[in-house]
Amino acid sequence: MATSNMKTGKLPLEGIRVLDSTYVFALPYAGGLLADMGAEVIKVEGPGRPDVTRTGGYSGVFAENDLGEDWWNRPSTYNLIHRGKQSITLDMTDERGRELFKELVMVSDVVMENFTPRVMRSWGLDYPNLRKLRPDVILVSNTGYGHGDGPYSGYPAQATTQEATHGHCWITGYPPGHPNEGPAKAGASFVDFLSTWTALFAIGAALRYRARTGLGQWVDMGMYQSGVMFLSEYVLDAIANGREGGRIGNRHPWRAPQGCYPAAGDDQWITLSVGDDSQWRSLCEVMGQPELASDPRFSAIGGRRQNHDALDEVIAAWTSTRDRYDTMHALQAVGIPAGPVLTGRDIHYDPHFKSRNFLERVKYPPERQMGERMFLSRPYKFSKSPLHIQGPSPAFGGHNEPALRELLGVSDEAYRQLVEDVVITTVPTTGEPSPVVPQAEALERGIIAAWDPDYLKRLGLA
Amino acid sequence: MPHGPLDGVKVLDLSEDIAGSFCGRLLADYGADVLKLEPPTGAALRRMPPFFGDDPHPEKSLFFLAMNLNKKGATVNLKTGAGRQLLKELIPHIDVVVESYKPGYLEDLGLGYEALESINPGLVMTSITPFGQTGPYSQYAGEEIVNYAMGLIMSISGQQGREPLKHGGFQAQYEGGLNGAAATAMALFMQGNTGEGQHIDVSITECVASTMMATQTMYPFIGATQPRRRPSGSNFGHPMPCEDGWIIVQTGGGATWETIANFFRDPRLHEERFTDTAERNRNGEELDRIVLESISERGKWDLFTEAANSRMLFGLVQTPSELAECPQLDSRDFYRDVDHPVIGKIKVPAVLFNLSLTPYQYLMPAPTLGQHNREIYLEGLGYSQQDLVLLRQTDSI
Repeated sequence: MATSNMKTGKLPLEGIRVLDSTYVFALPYAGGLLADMGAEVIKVEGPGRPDVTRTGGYSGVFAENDLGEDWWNRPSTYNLIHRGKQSITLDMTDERGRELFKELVMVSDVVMENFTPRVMRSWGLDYPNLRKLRPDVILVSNTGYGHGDGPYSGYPAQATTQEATHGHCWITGYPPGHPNEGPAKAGASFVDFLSTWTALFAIGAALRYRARTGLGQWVDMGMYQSGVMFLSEYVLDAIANGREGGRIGNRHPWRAPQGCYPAAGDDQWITLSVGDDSQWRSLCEVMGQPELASDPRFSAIGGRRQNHDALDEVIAAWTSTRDRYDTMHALQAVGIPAGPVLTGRDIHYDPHFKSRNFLERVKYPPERQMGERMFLSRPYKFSKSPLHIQGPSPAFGGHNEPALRELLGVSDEAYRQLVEDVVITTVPTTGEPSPVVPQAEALERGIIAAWDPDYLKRLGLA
Repeated sequence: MPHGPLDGVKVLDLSEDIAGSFCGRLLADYGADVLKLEPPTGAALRRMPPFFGDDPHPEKSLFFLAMNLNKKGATVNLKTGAGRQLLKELIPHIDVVVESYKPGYLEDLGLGYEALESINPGLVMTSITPFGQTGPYSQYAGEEIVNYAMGLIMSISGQQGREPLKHGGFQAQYEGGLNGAAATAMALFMQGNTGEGQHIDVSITECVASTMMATQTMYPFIGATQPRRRPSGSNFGHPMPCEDGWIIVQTGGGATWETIANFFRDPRLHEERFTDTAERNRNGEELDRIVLESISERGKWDLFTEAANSRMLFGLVQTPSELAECPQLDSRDFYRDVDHPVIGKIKVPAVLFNLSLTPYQYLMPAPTLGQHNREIYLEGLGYSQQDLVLLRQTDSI
């Protein structure tokens, strides 16, 4: 029974159906990656509860800054995360919505949810109840602090605020004594992705176990655990040595010099990291200052760490007039780790990412009015099962008919009633598009750093 | 009772670094039998701080300890013919090889994926490297800061007008390890169904870039590049100092603006220049002044509890020692007590996620160098005691 709807195929997850009742970034992105691996992923949203990647501040930007006729299907973040999925709507506050959800559970191998523990229990959709519907189901729950009776288990949480609680902000920031010092955040919503990848690992392992034993189980993830795990060496240093870590900016705990230095051009940067004395001598050679290698301030690692500020000035004077890529190639040629700070624009043109097809092109059907777009794919390649984004993101409720009528066999009459009562829909009943700011104005206001008006042509998307 | 969902999977972990070791450890944590194979001089990670008691002893790297829990350990010198022979003799008994050498290194030794797969069809090999196995930078040297720079995240971290800022610690390496484990689990599931193995090529830089959803898509959607944070304007979503540390607050979640305004106890926050979202963004600097004044004499823990009671999205900047003593982590049995033969008793971050049927199990500390040589080579491969002496004399183990 465990393998009733499983057939082997070219992709790792062919024949696996995933019911994806998750919101925001962490598990929804896992759903998109499961689709890349060949799973059939059905995303469920409430008619009045569209995903926040469609509405508000999490949605990114709209294709061509144009709301089109269906703005809720056009945001950039929504389209990256939900690639290759099907979309259905179900009002879970309606008895019929919950019943249909349960019927979908019965035909799904994996169910993913990120409601608060209280909500799933009150709907009878917690693991003990889901198991009654589908004994071998693999349920994946993601919450900020994990289920259970811990003091924070009921606390609301999202990645931005959790990055502080996890300790990441404590070790990130311009170092003390420098302007703008103090704990800082890195990137955007960083710890969400730790849950994304943890979910993939857990699902792969649980599916393998189910294939061998016929048994499903409950994967209970708390984002907090992933975040703290990624700080293991700091926590152990505190436990064993009483040390509190802290912020060292762009420097390395033991290598020197290391930093992010200005390069020729506006807001262009190059990073480099020197470990041992032989790399230090090579750096001096490449900089055309071989005499510096024997400067007693810098010749040994201890001195380089102690005189790091002075060393930074020497290096910055050299890098600031040079092209960042030229500096990378020159340093890498002698074995010194170095690389430019790449932006969201740069990655589309960098020869390495291009040669690995790291950004994949996705074509939309004409009615979506989205043409073709490029998206982050995956950070790994499989030699015998080449993975690809399987298709564009779905339109809101775009698969209500096939999923409910064909898969579950809902009658014509009942389906009409569901539409009439807005238990299902293709137009969200709540939510507003995030404000559209014309690019020229956004540039002036510092909301964006740069703008290529001819981006579609440059990318070959027009 | 099975050890975990990967019960029965046998793994050789050849990696010397953080990323590969973390991948191997996650496989071990969830049931795989993982053998760490190190050069006779020990994996490079054994030389990485922090050390227990700040003593740079090869068995006292806390980083090595954390990344190698639940593994057995043996030594092999792949630079000798006898060492390579040992590895080839192990291959028929295993399902997965995890490695993080420079692309091409194992091929040059006759130990690349094709060579090993010809010994054991169905083998999964997971290679985790800074830039991946292919492409113009595949032979380039990586370091955490370089992975971060080329993985886009530095371009939006830090402040405008200053240099981009690196995330603290070794996040990129952990990301490479976690993605390696995820891809390996998927490949093992497929191998169980089809008998077919894979060579998995993980790029650490691409792991970092994979978190850049908004940053990347902004370009093909509107042709724009995302900037770093402006030096002034609202601090919402960024750490702010309070009486005894830093806190961070976000709008959204279950809290209305009225709730947030009440929380900060300043009537001005109920004025329209703050209640309206667009207006609030325009008056960010004034908002910061009010909020910073409001929290300047309030403690982070009181603020944290009060915010949770108001259903606000709220965090406080915890330090490593606070994380080490966290009641929430204890309620989830996150830490496990490890008894290491050289370090002694120490608690270690252990449980990445909870599983109802086959939960995490702590089985053993990180291996000491060559700890299981006898078990692996004598009992496992049938070598004699005399053979082992000879292998040691030729520096093969």
